[in-house]
Amino acid sequence: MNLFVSALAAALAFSAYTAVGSLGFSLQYATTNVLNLAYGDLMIVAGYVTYTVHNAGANIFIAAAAGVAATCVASYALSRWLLIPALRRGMSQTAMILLTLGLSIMIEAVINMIWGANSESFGLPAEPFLRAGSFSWTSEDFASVVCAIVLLAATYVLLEMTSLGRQMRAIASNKELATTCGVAADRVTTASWVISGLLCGIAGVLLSAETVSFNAVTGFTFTVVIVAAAFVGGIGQMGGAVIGALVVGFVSQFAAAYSNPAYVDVFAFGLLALVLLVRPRGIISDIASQRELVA
Amino acid sequence: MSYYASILLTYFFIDVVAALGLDFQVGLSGILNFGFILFQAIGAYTVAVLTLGPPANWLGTQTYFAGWSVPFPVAFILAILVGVALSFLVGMLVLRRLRASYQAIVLLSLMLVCYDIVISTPSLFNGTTGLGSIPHPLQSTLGLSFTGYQWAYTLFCGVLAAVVFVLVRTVYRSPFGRLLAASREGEVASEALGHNVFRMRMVAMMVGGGLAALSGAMLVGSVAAWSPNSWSFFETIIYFAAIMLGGVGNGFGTLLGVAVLQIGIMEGVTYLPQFGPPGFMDYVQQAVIGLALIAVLWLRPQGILPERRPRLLGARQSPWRPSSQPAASGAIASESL
Repeated sequence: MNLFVSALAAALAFSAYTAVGSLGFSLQYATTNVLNLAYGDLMIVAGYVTYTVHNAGANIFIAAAAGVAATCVASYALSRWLLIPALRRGMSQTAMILLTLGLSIMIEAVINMIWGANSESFGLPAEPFLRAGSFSWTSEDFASVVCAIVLLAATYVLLEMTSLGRQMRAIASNKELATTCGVAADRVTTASWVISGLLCGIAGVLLSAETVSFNAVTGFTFTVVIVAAAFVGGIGQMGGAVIGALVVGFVSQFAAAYSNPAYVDVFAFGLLALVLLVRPRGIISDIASQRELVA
Repeated sequence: MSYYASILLTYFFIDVVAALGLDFQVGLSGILNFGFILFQAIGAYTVAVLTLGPPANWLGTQTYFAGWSVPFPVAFILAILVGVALSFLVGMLVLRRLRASYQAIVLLSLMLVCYDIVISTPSLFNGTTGLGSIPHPLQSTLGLSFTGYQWAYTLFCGVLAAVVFVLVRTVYRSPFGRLLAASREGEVASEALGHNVFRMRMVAMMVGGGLAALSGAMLVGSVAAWSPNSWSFFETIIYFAAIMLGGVGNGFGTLLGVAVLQIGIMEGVTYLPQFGPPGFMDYVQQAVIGLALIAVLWLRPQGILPERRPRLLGARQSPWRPSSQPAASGAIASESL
């Protein structure tokens, strides 16, 4: 029972920051049609910038804001000067994936050049912030859950209740039609690069705070979880990203708690493999079948 | 010097075998196998556990499962078979209902997860430390000098690479190769003509996986050690960059790409004056490979030596070429408004 309760606490926190990450990933893919493999690396950039600013003596919240801003700017810059021009040149989907992969390797190399290959950690207080029996949350866990709830609500409001959100959804479901109807695709796509960069940065800061110590490849490795969550839920759907993160988070954390804690990614992937065999378009599916991702 | 030359040549031949396997999957068949290095690793690990003898011999210095002392050619052949079998299983998972980009990302995840399993389960292949002191094939039987054996092994790898090259080229130009290329260009059209695209791609997956496993076996025979460091995800990207640079879908491009990237950049850098803190050059190398990949995709996506187009297909658009028309993107349309 104690194990169950502590696993529940871990699963909630893990699902929370996974949801933020996979929401950004999913949103980015839906609106820009780029399957961005450098997403995890951009996440960890936020972690490193936060670490540096925090070490320079700044408050952890200010440091986190700086980290998120850095990733957001990086996401915008990459889209503005590399990815959008590449799409405009008529680069195929496969070439675009390879392009983001080259980018991911370069980001990792640059991180290693600047910060060295050692693992870093924020050095936040280790004692539980919230405790009830065996249910215990550190301050990072608590921050993850709060951030996730706030960001999910904000994204929901953005997508469902604002004009920009409506245009983003229009572009996600049919870009040509949306453009014909007068949606300024350029502006909306730029906005979605910035918004997904924001989510990516916040997820990155949370991930770096939650892992014992992070290094240049932590973000890339976390891609497994992000992808599992996004695809299990159904890519391109806000609900899909959240449900996927919850399912993947709970299954992997509980399975890991009852077997070997090192196997979180393994169970996340196992779940993805299972979903691929049974229902390849994910739990909630629109875009996966529309874009012919699956037959 | 002679020793170093033989090592370089051996690596070249081994990388050619691996890169041809990858080109078979990516260039010819359009399967973006981001998990490629996994198949090289399984070949290497298979040879290692098949030739190291029982783990008890090592008095706890290294742990691994099973452990036999199988004679040399059998170990290599079994490694290939294991690679093919794993490719079959993976193919069943990713080739049936998923399209290229989705396949790619699932294969990538699979590779990262297997990496994780190997690292966190030392009883499998000795975890992060990896396996060492793996016997060189036939070293004691041949009774050659150190350098002599080195050159003999180089020759062996050269022969294997040549055989693989000729076979792969033959398949590329065979009717089956043309069918694979056709299904890459137009999956639906190819299926409409009654070809079983899934089965053809499964064959490509298994051929590529077998070649990757063979290259892993050859590598272990040369360096006598194998650890997770030898098959980080970066290695896959080097192979991708090599085949993209040389030009996919024809064997010669692969040879060129391997010579330039694997040998020129990955090995050549060791001759440059070192600067920065220790390990800094590795990151420079990594950045150069990433940059090379991006530059090729940007400037010449068909590679230095492009695939020769069959005349009837000449007008079709290849996934590796930029389309002549601007992409169906609203971005351009809205700019002109």
